[in-house]
Amino acid sequence: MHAVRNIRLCTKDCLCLYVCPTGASDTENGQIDFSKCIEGCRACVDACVSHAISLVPQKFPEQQPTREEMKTLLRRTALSKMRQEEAAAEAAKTAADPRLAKALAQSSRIMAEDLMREAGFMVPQNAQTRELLQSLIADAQGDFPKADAEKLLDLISR
Amino acid sequence: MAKYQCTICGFIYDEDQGIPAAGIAAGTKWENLPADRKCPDCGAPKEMFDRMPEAGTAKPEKAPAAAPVQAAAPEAPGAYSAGELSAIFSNLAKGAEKQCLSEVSGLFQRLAEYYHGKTATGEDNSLAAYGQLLSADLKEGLSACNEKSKADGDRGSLRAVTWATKASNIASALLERYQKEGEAMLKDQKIWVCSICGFIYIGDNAPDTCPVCKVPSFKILEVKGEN
Repeated sequence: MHAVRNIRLCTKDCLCLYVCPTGASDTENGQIDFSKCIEGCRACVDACVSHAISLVPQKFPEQQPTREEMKTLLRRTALSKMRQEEAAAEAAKTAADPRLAKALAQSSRIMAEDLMREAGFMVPQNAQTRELLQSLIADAQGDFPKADAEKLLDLISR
Repeated sequence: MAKYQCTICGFIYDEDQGIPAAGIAAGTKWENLPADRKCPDCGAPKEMFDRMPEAGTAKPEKAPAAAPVQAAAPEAPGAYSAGELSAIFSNLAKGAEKQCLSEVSGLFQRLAEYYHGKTATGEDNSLAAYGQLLSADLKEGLSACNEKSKADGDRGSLRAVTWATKASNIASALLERYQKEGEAMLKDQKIWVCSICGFIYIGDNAPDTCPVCKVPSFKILEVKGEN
């Protein structure tokens, strides 16, 4: 578990700098340096008066299971939304004012993403995501970015 | 006097009160409001309001749901299609970004783009085609999801499906207006999309919180015009 800072809540009280034993919270980019952060230390989390720092688990609990039939329905609707994204995005290319078509396309993807989250892809580190990547890597052909997928699988399996 | 509630965001129009700030005098009957009057909070059209049961009267018995049409059990899904994979990976990229894992996020994004490039169907890509798919979702896909998630007591799925149904209803109403009024409807107007649930809003400023998912306004983003 490493600490992360919510920049929107941070009011630069800088108490995290006082308490951090390694200087991990003292960076130029406003985020915490995960490589220096001590596993489970949480000194900064408890010290921050703005509640801007929290611990992100390395391993997330598995998502509660969704029934297969429900997943099928969610997937089917998500796929329809992705088809709508395509139709609206293409329509935007020829509209004088493309904004509404663009909005419809964006909205379609956001809904598809949310439906797929409930179909078992809530967090990057869960078993279903790893299994999916493994199967895509095993079946890789053509221009599939296999090296990226392998790197990703390694990073989320640690 | 009666009250009417917006089915998208929950806003209540009370005939007793009117909305004086918007020029609707107290006592104005619902049926006397112009047909193009929209929900002041979320922009939903008038027909998306339901009359609320009067206080003290028993809730009108809902017509017993005609034995739900037993949708044929959906076929077992095959491998994920490119469209699904694109949505899965663009979503996981966002999830990784929230955990401040920028490398992981970038790799998921690359996969999302790879599959996005494989999705072109070559089918009809007009707004009319979009509208047909959308109304099929509302009639079939989303309503089947809604029934199934209720029957399963699956709160997570029901949540996503409820938001998607509301955002789809709004999209459908906007498309209908657009097909009637054309681009004049957008003149001097800003368009906003909630980056969490997909709710679309037309107006000067994004609502303080999303009327559908209640996320604060900084997550509701303006759609810019450049192609």
